[in-house]
Amino acid sequence: MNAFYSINNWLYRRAENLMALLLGSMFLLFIVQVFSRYVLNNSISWSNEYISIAWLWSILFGYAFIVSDKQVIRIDMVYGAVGPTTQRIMDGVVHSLCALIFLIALPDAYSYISFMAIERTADMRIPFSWVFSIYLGFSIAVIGRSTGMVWKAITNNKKYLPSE
Amino acid sequence: MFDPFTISVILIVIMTIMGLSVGLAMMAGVIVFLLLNGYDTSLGAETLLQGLFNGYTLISIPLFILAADIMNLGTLSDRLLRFSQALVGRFKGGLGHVNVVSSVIFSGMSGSAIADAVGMGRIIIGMMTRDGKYTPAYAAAITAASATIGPIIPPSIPMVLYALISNTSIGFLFAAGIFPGLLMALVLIIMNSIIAHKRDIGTDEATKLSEFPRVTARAFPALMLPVILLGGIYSGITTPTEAAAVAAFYALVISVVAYRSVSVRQFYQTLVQSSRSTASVGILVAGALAFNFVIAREGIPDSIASYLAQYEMSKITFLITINLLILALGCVLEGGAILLIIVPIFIPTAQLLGIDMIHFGVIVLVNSMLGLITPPYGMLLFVVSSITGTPIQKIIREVLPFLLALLVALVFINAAPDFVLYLPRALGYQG
Repeated sequence: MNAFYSINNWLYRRAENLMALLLGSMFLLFIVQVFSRYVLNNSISWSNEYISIAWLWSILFGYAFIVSDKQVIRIDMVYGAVGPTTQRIMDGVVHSLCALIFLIALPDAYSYISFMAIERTADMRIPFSWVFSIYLGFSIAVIGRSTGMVWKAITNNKKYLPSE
Repeated sequence: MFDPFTISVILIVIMTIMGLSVGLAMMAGVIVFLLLNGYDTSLGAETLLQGLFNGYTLISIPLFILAADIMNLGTLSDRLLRFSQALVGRFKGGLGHVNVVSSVIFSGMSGSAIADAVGMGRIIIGMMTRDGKYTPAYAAAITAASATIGPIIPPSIPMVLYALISNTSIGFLFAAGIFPGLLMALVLIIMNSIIAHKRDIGTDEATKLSEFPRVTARAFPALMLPVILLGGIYSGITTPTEAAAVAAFYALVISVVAYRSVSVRQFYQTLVQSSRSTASVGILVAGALAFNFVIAREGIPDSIASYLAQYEMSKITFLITINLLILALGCVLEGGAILLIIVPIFIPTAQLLGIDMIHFGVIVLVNSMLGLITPPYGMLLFVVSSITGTPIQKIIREVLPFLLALLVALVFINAAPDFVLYLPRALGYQG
């Protein structure tokens, strides 16, 4: 079990590295873009495209892998007011629903994204199927995390889930 | 029994009440709506992916978050506080005024009320409670109240969201926020002054006049940030999105070069922290993009507009209704969610009634910011409660007079479009 947690921890750090890299590169490119337009009189065409991709990935990848359940924007007025047993029941119900819904939608999402291989981005000529592929990773992570929450609710395991 | 739209809305409400993240609940609701209608469920994914990929202005959000996080990192907030203290600290209830004034200055740099409260707020609460002149509850309350100014004075993340849903110019929206933001500061200062006299809070130690130039010089690089940011936007040199990046860059440069207070390791941690906040706001935006597709497909905004038209509702009745609705929703919903889900529904009606979209935006924004300090579910109340370790009930009691003052400001902002639109018009807004 310990080996599992340390591998998981290692992966989590790498995910953090990637997130820092995505945001850092967006930030840097914007500065380079403004600098190049006004100082070098030469606008870079591919930078906006890169930034859009990084933005999309940082949301979906970040939400799937580095945002913990405590950091999400949610309304916990009712959830916070009920006792632990009711909370467990609510967790069980809502997360099994969530996992189920995303699972049902997965095949359609997959066929849309693989279909998008026919289209490429304007400047960097990257197939949209690659750009959008993170949505599949996101969906699978949502299903996985929700299943984990259901499991936690059933077994009443207080320990943090690996993904947290 | 129920149509697919109603079912999906009920599902979203139930899921969020049961504690699922608002963004995910909206995505799930959209999938269910599509399933029940027999559509391809990938329509939801498509809308969301295309919306995020093509939403260029939205990209300013992570950059504004980053800029605020960088500013909270170094000694920049501390220098700004000293400056505000030199400015208004000598009056009765001085540190309360300092709190409000530094919020105004800081809000010219950060786009989020929460960032304002945790950054500047933490330091000033410490200053106010140190010698027992102000109770922690009072310090917390005025910090929360003044943090609501943050997203009204530009830059502002909620304004970026509103620009997205209403197709208005971010530049003009930013300009329209300045006077209302200052008005909010004014009413808070008046209220603080009244309370300070009533409780006979002693005058705080004043900064010597001879020290004023030094304190100002130390804060000067930080004070230039709003000038650079807004100057870039209004001169047309940078897009608002680029201006956000330039602001973050400037904050980084002055923290590293002028103030020597940020290490590489700290910068890395700030990047991670900002990207985490980005993902958690971003998923809300993503969910709203998908859900707005459903709303548009069902033609909800138009049916509401024609429904209300039957009653020949006047501008004033409409505005009062909207204000009451958002105030009520603000008690239970997060500001971003109100902006992205509820407001789009009423935009066609507002347009039909001839309400200016920029004016409407400012009303809605000020109103949803008040939601952040409205009991029981005001996010800012929870933030300052956790900073001070004061029970939320005590803070609520102290925040009520400030809430009242801000409500007065809100009524004025509603009634005086010319006041709100003065600056945008001066900058060339036709409206």
